[in-house]
Formats: sequence, structure tokens, C-alpha cells
Amino acid sequence: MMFHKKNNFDAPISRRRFLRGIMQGSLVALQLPMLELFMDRQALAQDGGFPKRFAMFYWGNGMRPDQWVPTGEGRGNDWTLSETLSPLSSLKEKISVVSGMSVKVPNTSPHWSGGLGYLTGQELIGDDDSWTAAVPTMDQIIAQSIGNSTVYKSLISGCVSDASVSWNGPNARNPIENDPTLLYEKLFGPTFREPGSEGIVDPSLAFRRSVLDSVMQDIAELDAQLGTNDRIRLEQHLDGVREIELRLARLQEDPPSLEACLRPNAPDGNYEDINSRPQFAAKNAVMSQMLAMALACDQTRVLSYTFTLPLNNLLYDFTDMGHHSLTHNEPGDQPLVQEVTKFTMTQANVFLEALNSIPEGSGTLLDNCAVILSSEVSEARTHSLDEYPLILAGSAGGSLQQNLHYRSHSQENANKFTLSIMRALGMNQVSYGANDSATSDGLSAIEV
Amino acid sequence: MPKFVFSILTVSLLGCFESKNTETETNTHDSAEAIPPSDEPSIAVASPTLRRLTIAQYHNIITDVFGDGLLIPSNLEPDISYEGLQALGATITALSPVGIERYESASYSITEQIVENPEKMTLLFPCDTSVDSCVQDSITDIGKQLWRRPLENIQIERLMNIYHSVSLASDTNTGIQYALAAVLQSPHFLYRMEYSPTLTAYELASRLGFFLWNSAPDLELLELAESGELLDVAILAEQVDRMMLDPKHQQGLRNFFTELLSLYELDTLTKDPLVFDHASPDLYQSAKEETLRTIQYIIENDQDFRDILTTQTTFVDRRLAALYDIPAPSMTGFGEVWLDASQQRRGLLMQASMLNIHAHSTSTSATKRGIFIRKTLLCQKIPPPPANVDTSLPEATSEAPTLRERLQVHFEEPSCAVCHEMMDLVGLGLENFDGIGRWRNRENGGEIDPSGLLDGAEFLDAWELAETVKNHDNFGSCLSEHVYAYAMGHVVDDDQEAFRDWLVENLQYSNWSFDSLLRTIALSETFRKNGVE
Repeated sequence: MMFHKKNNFDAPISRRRFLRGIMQGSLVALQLPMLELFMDRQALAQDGGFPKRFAMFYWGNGMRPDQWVPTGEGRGNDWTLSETLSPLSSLKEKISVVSGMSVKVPNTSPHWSGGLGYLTGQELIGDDDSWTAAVPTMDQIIAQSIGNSTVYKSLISGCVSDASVSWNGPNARNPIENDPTLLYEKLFGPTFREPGSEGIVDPSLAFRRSVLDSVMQDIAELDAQLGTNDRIRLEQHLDGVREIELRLARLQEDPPSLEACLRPNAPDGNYEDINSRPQFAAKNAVMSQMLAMALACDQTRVLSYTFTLPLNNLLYDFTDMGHHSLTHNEPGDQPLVQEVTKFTMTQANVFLEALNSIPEGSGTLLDNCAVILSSEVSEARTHSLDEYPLILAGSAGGSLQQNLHYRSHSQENANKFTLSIMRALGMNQVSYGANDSATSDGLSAIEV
Repeated sequence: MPKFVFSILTVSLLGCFESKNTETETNTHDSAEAIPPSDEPSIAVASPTLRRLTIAQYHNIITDVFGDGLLIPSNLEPDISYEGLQALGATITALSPVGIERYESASYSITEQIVENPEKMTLLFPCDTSVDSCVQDSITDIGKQLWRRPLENIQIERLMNIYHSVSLASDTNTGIQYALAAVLQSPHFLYRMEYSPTLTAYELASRLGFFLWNSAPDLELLELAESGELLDVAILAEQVDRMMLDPKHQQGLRNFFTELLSLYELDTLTKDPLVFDHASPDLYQSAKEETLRTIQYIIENDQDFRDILTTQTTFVDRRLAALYDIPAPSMTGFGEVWLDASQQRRGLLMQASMLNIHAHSTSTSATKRGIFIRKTLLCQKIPPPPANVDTSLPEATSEAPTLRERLQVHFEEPSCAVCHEMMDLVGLGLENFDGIGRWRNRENGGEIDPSGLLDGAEFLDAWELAETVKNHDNFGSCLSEHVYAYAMGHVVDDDQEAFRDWLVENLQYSNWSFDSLLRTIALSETFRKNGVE
């Protein structure tokens, strides 16, 4: 099915002209960025394909490598899923498991050295009380590259988590959207229009844009008076305001004509804990469906989804001790720890199946995605950064291998996995990481 | 008989922790012999930074300007703590795109409630809103209160343009709504900009408001800023006195200590319900309240602030009374109680708040409690652990029933002992209080030994630990450093040490009056300065 955009104007649109048509008041003279979105989407239309998307499905407190690693190595029938990974069997042909890799950063801060070490590709900075990311996390790096033509550059959400695993840079952790009702309002509320629908553009969009223009003027005037560091901070603020303005501009145009895009039903559940236990499954189901549809409607192409947070101490239906405590206190083979991991994989499967249930061309949305399933450590009891959990789902439009178990026998740098995925998404990423974690090699085994 | 391992401290330990107060001659004599403080030293202050509004400040200012009864969204971009204070975190964060989105939608949610409220509209627009000058004057006035300084003509013009274009397409109230939203989304609202090398009267008003009230300066302060009178020392002193008597000062005090003692962690704390069946979010809120009320009580009565560590006065509700195993002062709400000599607990270190926060979800943590005392109360640095360390402790056995015995593994390995002795030998003093603050004599059948060592002073139990901290050379200078950083937006560095030492002189001379410390800072010349880059 060809993806084409209905365009009400004949000539290429300049943003100034667009604004003049909307605002009745006096003109504001601004340095406005060129309207990339039209150019980008027209290119897409000519291409005939679907855009590539990225998603990170993240859970906390790792896994037990001895129970995680699949049997056999290679492709297809050469390997089988482990017991812990068996919940993914319905999608075995669309996933690849990469085992034996290591995150090459000093492990000074239990859990977060690994977490930020993998998510940013580098060692975290700061001390015990104020550690933070040295650079943006991979979802934001990817969004900077592939997120510029959608309503949202990225969506940072989660299931049972109060915070995200997404940073814009040092001391700039992105807030998380974890309330299904609020997320629905944002994505499919009054500003959403189904493709082909006759809806009127919400007039408040224009009003809001006039306010944003005033704010940008305020920022410009303030900027001149500041010191260097403050200028950088204010620049980030300005970028954020610009993003909203571009989003409002996109919302004012007709939505891209994507057949699978439909407004989903509003979440109706009460997602309060039951007996001190979160409703993981119910919440994950509704979030997965909404986020899949957000991708299908091209509202965004980048997702960061924190299923559970590193160091969480959540209770499950089948446990009586918090997860983190369990990883340190359960003796021996830790059967309950394994059960939690297996349950997490069940929920990951729900997430992936939501993506796989949306048809795109001759395949599905999942085929056009690169989804990473990961956690901040492997064995939580020792906070190990070896045998790091890495699963790839989807093939980014045929650019990545599927139905593969690649096992590294030399503790290769986990950043190689990330680098290959970035390249598969079309990014010109020469290298990734820093110091001991720096690499310019991808993981050729997963590349097509 | 103390059973702890006493290692010989080698020279290498000096690299492990730094005491910042090695040079001041501290005066612990009583007031009769106290030396009046010297003149304020002239120091170099750090260069200024934009300070983002914290969530609490955002709420406070909106309430001050627009009145009570507004539903203010609470899911704004979270504050971050830096060097122990969110006030400092505000100097290094920017706003994420999602954060800006949330401020955008908050501004519409708030302004919609305002324009739909006839009473509020009459107060804010006490004139005929069909007349342009009415709308302009009122918005200019509101803007001044929200931005903590007068609006420039070009800014007023922009806001009126929004008002005109929106009201033309819609109606007057909607026009007003969007103009006010622009005021609330502006960086002039969201960031504090006290930037001049010598603060202008408006900047001084702003710095005072946030310091003493955790909010914007009020109309009286803004008037004195406009006339410039606020820069007169006598008038400034009058205003500081007024501000400290104003109810908003309590909000300011509570905020400072909530930040310093990380009491906000109690909002999201979870403990393992199987291990601690008395644990609940309600208990943690009560614990927060107890600590804040105790501190407010001491400050209100102008007591020696060090008493916070040993006071036998506290404020509990039914829940805390049950936890402490004392009679509840009342069925509902909080009541003042006196913890007599038969009670095992007294003072801040033994309050449920501190015992809960500095612990794990299933147990106590001598290390965390020791770190709290060292870092937060005594401003000593403890370096991070070495890389790739296995942090698991051995299980309790009949030979090693209590935490003290299980922690021996920290002391056997020299690279661990070097720092862990600094933390564990202090925190073990509180082991009679479990992970949610209940008293216990034994653990796993073994008798708990709460003795320890803090910088050469031995203590036998938690009471003596509290006394040791109270009399520690660093306590006053550390407190002064925190209050300075909170006021000025940067930590005390080499350049500011002389001023900090002067603050300690004043603190001692005033018999450790916290109010006096605040007043000394607010009226100092340093408070009115910024460094130049």
C-alpha cells in the first residue's frame, strides 16, 4: 500500500507564509527553521516504503544468565529459546538473541553504572548522590536523527515505573508518561484526527502557537544577558519550545494517510495496585496498544518504554519479597527471580505482539521496527555487566537479522550491538561510546 | 564493653575523607564568655546562574498571586538534588521537551480556571475588561508579580498582541487566558534571574522572597523595590523581620529542611511489607511531619539549634506513637510529647523519618546512616566505592547474628575498611532502631551493641552518638554551608570560606539561633552580590 500525503497546497510551503495565514495580529519577525516535515514526508511518499522505527523495552534488575542463554547458536533450527525466554516463542522468527556481550564501563554504581553504561554507551558522571548521564541516551540520539518529521520526536513512557531511562544529556532526565488516561488524552485526544476524516482544525492550536512565539522572543532577549553555561541551558529550553511549535504545525495539517491508523478505545481501567501488587499485565496491554498505534499513525518513530525500573522493589502475584531484595536474598538458583524474568518476557511478548498485529505493506509494523529488549545488569545479585541481556526484535525494514542466536565468546563490547542497530535505522554513526567502551565496529552477525 | 574492631588509622586514610573545618577555632563556651563576631569579611562570590523554579516554588507563587483553590498540576518536571539540595539542582538543570510541554499544559489548565472564576477575575481585573487599558494594566501588574520585576514595553506589547488576536477570534476572557498563559510559560517566570554584580532592588527582593518564603516577593517588597528603598539597610532589616514573622516563613523553613534532610524521599518510600508490617505511606507522611514540626518548634522558640539532635520534645500522631510504643497524645492529628529518660529515643537521628530513609527496604543500613551523619550533618566527603565490587553481605548465623558481626567483612579488606570504618562505626550506633524505626534489643537472637567511634570520640549508645555529633566541630560550619548554598545558589568554595567562618561566629554568638543565622545572611553584603565571570 503506497503511503502518500494529501497536500492542500500546490507550492512548497514556507513556514512564514503558513503562520501569516493563521495569525491575525501583527507579524513577529523570527528566525524560523525551514519546514522539514513536508519535505521529509514527500520523500517518504516517493520512496513507497514505511518509515523505520526504534523502540526500547526496558526492565529492571536483570536476569540470570545461566537460565537465560538459549541452547545452540546460529540461525533458525540451530538454536532454541531457553525456559526463561520461552514466552517469546510466538515471535521467535522475528527476534534475535545476542548473548555473551559486556558493557565496558567501570562498575562503580551498582545497577546504574550498567544502566547508563549501556543506554548512553559511556560511563556515567558525577558521584554517588548526583550521578547522571554524560551524554544523551540512545533513544534521544536516534530521535535526533529519525524523529524530526513526526508530531513527537520521541515518546517516553512506561508501565510500572515512576521515572524514565531516557536522558537528554547531563542532569536532563526526561519525565515519564506512565498514566494510560493522560497518554491517551495526549495522543488520541482532541488534537488527533484519523486519516481521511473531515475534522476541523482545533483553533486553539493557532492560539497556542502565538503564545509559543512570544515565549521564544522572551528567550531570545534573555539569552543575550547570560553566561555561557546558562546560554546552553536556555538553548535546550528553546529547542523544547520549538518542538512544540512544530508539533502544533503538524497537527494543523491533514494527517498522513496510513491505513492502519485508527483512534483506539480510551483506556477505562483503574490501574491501582491490588494487594500491594501492580497490575503489570493490564497496564502493559493498554500501553502497548496505544504506543503501537502511535507508531502506526506516525505520531512518533522513537519509543522509550520502561516496563519496570532498575533497582525496583516491586511485588508480583507470585512473590512475597520485593524484586530487588529477592535478587540479593533468594538463595541458590533463585527460582523466584527466574519466574519474575519469565513473567517480564511474557509482557515483552505482549508489547511485541501489539506491534506485530498492525499490518504495514506485505508485513507488519514490527518488521519495520528495531526493538531492543534490555535491562541494566545481567545477574543482579552481583551487579554483573557481563552476559548482558540484549534481544533484538524486528528487522528495521529488512536491515537486521532475525531468528538468530549470536553468542560472543570473547565478551565483546555491547556497544557493537547498538551501533549496528543505529546504522540499520539509516544513521551515519561512525562510532559509539567513549574510552574503554568506544567502538567503530558493529556486530556484523546481526547485520543484513 | 565496646566490641567493635578498632583499626589503626594510617596516613592513607586522610585521602578518604576531608573535614572542611580544620582551621576555625570553634568556641563552645556558653554565652557569657562568647566573643562578639568580627566585621563581615569581603569575599568573592561565585558567578550567577539561572535558577529554575522548583515545583514547590511554582505552586507557591501561583497561589500567592492567584489565590487559593486552584488545581495546580503536580506532574511538572521533577526537581533534582545536587550537592544535597534541590535549590542547587535548580542551578544546573534545563527543561526537557516533555517538561516544557507540561508547563505549557499547566499554564492553560491554571489560566482556564482563573478566567472561569468570576470572583478571581474581579480581584485580578478590577475594572472594565472591555476597555483595552484595563486589560493591559491588570496583565502588567500580574506579570510583575509573577516575573518578580516590571515588564518592559516590548513585552507588554507582545502580550497585548496575543490578547488582541485571540479575543478577536474568540472572546475577551479567552484572550486574557492566553495572554496570562504566555506570562506563565515565559522564562522570566520559570527561571530566577538575579544576575547583576550588585543586586538591583528587584533582584534583592526576589532573592529574599525565595530565601525566606520559598516564593516570590510580595507587593510590599515589590513597592520598596520600585522606590529603591529596599536597598536601605534599615528598611531591609525591617522587611527581613516582617518576612520572618509572616506565615510564609514556615513554608520557607519547611522547604529548606525537606530538601536538606531529603524528606521528600518519604513520599515515594517503600518497605517490604512482609518484613515491616507496620510500614505504610501514611506512616512515612507522619514521620515527615514529626521531623518538620520538631525543627519548627526549636526555631520558633529560638532554642539552641543543636538541640535538634538531642531534644526530648517531639510531635507524634497516633501512628508514630504506636511505632514508638508510647501513649498517643490524641486520637487525631499531632500532639506534642515529652520523651522522658526512660525512653530510648530522642532527637533527629532517632526519629522515624531518618531511620526509614537511611535504610534498606528489608533492613537497616549502618552504612547509609553513617553516610548521612558524615555527609549531610558534618559535610565530610566520602569517596565512591571501587569499581566492580561485590556488595553482598554474608547471611546472619548463630556466630554472627547482628549486623555488626556481618559487617566485619567490610573491615577485613583494607581497601574497604578505609572508608567503611568512617561510615559503619558511626551508623552502628543506631542499630537498636530497625529499618522502620522501631526499638529492638536483639537481632536474630544476638544482643545489639550500639557503641562506636566518631572522629576520635567514642560513644556507648545512640544518645552518646547524638551528643557527639552535636558537639562536633563541623556541625555549625556544615549547617552554615547548607544555608549559604540554599540562599546563594552555589556551594561554599575556597573563596567563600571566610564568610562561612564568620557565619559560624555569628551563630555561636547568638547561642545557635537558626533565625539569627538566616538574618545574618539576609542582611549581609555578600547576600547582595554576584561574582563576575
